Amino acid sequence: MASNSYMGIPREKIPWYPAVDENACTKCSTCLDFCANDVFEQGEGSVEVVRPYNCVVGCSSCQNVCPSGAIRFPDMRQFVETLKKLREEYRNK
Amino acid sequence: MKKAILICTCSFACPSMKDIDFAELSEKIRLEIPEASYMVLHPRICERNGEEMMADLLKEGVIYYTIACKPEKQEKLLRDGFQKAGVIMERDKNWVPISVQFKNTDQVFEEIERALKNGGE
Repeated sequence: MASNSYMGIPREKIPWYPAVDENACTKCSTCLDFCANDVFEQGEGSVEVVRPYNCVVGCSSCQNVCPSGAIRFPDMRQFVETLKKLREEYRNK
Repeated sequence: MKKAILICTCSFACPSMKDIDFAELSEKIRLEIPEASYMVLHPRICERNGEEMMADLLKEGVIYYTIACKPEKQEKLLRDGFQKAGVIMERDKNWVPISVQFKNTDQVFEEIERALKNGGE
């Protein structure tokens, strides 16, 4: 069952969530409609990431549907290394 | 027509699926829905690893019930997997999407059961 941890690591310790380039964002709302977990909200200048830790770890689907390419995620290869270190850190906690 | 179930668990980490026990769900399907020829559980069907699985697995003559996020989203995310398999994705013909978002295990099970018992042949 899903919880607020991932592979034994508290979700808030995992740096995986989108970043929106406010210059590229056209406020079209595609990402808001697409994400079921309310990660985004419409802001003044662009869509904003308001609930980053609702983002499913490793999911970057919103990036694929953004028509203006305004959404970015961490580099997956680097992220896997980060995750390995976090797993090690939390293994015996 | 053969019926197969593909379950995407979204890495067991999606807040919108927090009330689903995928272990219980899959075992209930195996025991109580004989209409399903087989079932596959995958953590992320929509990504490369899942698409590779679809490319190897999918074929004509089978109805695929995909248990995942909302149908509109599935349609975008699973299209490439069908394409890699060389199978045309036709909703309600060889592809039946079932959303598990914001539902619990029993609700999802009932929906799958209803779809398999009523849909297709």
